[in-house]
Amino acid sequence: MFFLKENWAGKRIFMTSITLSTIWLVLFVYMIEEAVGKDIGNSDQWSGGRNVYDTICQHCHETGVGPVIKGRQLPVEYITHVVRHGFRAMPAFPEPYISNEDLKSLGQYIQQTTSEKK
Amino acid sequence: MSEQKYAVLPRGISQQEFQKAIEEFQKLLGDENVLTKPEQLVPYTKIMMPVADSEHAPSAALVATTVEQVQGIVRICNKYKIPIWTISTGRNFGYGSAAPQHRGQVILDLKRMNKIIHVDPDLCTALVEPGVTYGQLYDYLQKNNLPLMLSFSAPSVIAGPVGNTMDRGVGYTPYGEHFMMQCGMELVLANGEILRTGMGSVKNENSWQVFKWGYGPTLDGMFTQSNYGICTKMGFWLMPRPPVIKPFEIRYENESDITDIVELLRPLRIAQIIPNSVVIANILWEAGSANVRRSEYVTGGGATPDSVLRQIQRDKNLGAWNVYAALYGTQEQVDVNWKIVTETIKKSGKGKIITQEEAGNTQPFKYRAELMSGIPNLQEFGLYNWRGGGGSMWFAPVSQARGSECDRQKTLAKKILNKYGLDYVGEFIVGWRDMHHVIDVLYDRTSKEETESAYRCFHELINEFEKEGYAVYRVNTAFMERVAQSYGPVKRRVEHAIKRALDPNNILAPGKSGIDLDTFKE
Ligand SMILES: Cc1cc2nc3c(=O)[nH]c(=O)nc-3n(C[C@H](O)[C@H](O)[C@H](O)COP(=O)(O)OP(=O)(O)OC[C@H]3O[C@@H](n4cnc5c(N)ncnc54)[C@H](O)[C@@H]3O)c2cc1C
Repeated sequence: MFFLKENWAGKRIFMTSITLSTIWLVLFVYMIEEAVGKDIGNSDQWSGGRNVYDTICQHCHETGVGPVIKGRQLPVEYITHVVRHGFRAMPAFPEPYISNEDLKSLGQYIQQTTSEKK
Repeated sequence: MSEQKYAVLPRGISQQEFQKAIEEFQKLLGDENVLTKPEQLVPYTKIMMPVADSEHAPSAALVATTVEQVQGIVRICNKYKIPIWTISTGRNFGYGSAAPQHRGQVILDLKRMNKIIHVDPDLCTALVEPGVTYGQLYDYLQKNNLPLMLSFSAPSVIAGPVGNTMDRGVGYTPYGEHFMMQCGMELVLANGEILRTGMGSVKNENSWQVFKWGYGPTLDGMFTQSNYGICTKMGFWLMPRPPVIKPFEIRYENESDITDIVELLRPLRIAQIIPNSVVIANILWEAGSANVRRSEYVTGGGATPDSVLRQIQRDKNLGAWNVYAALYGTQEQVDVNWKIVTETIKKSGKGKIITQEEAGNTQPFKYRAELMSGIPNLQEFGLYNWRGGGGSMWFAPVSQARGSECDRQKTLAKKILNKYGLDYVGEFIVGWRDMHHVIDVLYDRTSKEETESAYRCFHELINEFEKEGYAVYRVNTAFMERVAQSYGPVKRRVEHAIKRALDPNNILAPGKSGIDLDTFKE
């Protein structure tokens, strides 16, 4: 029997039920091993400014919610100020959320981006 | 040390005493984890409420990363009578954000305590620390290919399950009533003891995340929206990701349709044919979250006329009310329920169904579908573009899931908001038998006049709703004391008796939900 598994990210995967159950079995064994360990996920530090941008900023600044900030050569100091103070509806982010080091890296990343031609 | 080293102090604490407490905090946490400089504290003062930032300015912020540190912090707080305001991810926008309930409280920021301790893909449970965000958890599930699904509040990317559930927040999947899906908490009490709720206190237990009630009194609820403990771990249930999720919208033309909509949906929701927390969003919620700006239509302040709302409806192809729901399961299950839903709507003679295929990538359908499918985004922040100026308070009265009641609440709220020159931007989130009627009181916080109006408006909303027997389920920090009064004196006496027993020095979040031993008068 074939059926369509619709993944929300837009991928479509066709599987037979036999293949599917095999995959589930393998996946479960793997997952149980994964899950028993302690502290299995900890993203304490961002991996650089680009990672902060991709994980947080772009959700507003590339969707029409907030203004575009890439490709405008915005000064690092300006970005730092807005992130720490917030601006109107834009929330402020304290140090434990985005460390000074990561914020600097974020500012540098945004500053050096070029505008993306659509 | 200069006499006036700290610009803001906790209530009744001198500079000298505060300095001594700060030194002890520094010894415990390290200097870098005790934030006292104005530039370090400024992010915690960013609020959206119509009161001065200074009324909610903290005196310091403490960054803890372990349970032992949290225990050490309460020990010092007891010694010096320092009040602390705990935040997990601190994204409580429209309810007070990360700022404390009153000026001078020390923030306890648990954002760096952010371990995903356990995810069990068989039992579909999770155990996390307070600083974990929904975004982080989502990435974890994706990376590890776990067939599990999250339910979260709309600021999902940056908010987190512990803070949201401690404030009894809501989401949009079948697990959308988050406190109902919570299972097991670890709390540091004001005396430094560690309490694990449910099965968590049993030696060698392994059922903490699977059985909520434990033995004897079930205590978890008492720690939510309260100030009796600091949550350092929380367990909750995750929904298995079904093979098929079918989000859809039903669009209604007229504001008066709300009665029929609710009567139509309630039986489907209670019978679990539509299993998720359905949303019924009004035209302005819909327009705002699709980035429509008021300035495109009207200039100057005041309430937006109904004629303009109808114009927006036509221009942007939106409904006066827009229902968002989803079906979950195997293809066969979804097909059966889809047939029931479509036939019910057809029979009712109104409402236009829009499927995902028809909506494509248009907003707000896209972000709504994502929220119902456990995919984080921040699109709802578009609401703040409607009026601009960053002012927002949620007015969130509870209603029966009955058409006439919803219409009555909507009409009353709109009348009061319009009287103050503000708009009704509302949605009903359908529980099983209740509605969380959530109204975003949007105003321009850069305008003194509009800010004052918003403040007076919020008071009137509470007063007038109270007269009709309605009260809110949650409120921003500026109005907590007022709302506590709506729930009557006996409840307040019991709450304060518990507070005296558990936290006699009143160090944990005084003022939360109106519970404050210093100010409460019998
Ligand atoms: C556009 C928009 C849409 C929104 N949509 C929703 C929605 O759909 N559903 C919803 O529920 N909310 C919504 N909100 C409100 C709010 O932003 C969310 O509820 C958010 O999840 C709360 O912030 P948080 O998760 O960071 O919790 P926090 O801010 O960390 O915590 C909230 C409160 O809980 C208490 N608390 C937190 N941690 C602890 C702890 N460890 N121990 C004891 N007490 C603690 C504190 O009183 C704190 O103020 C929305 C806000 C905006 C701006």
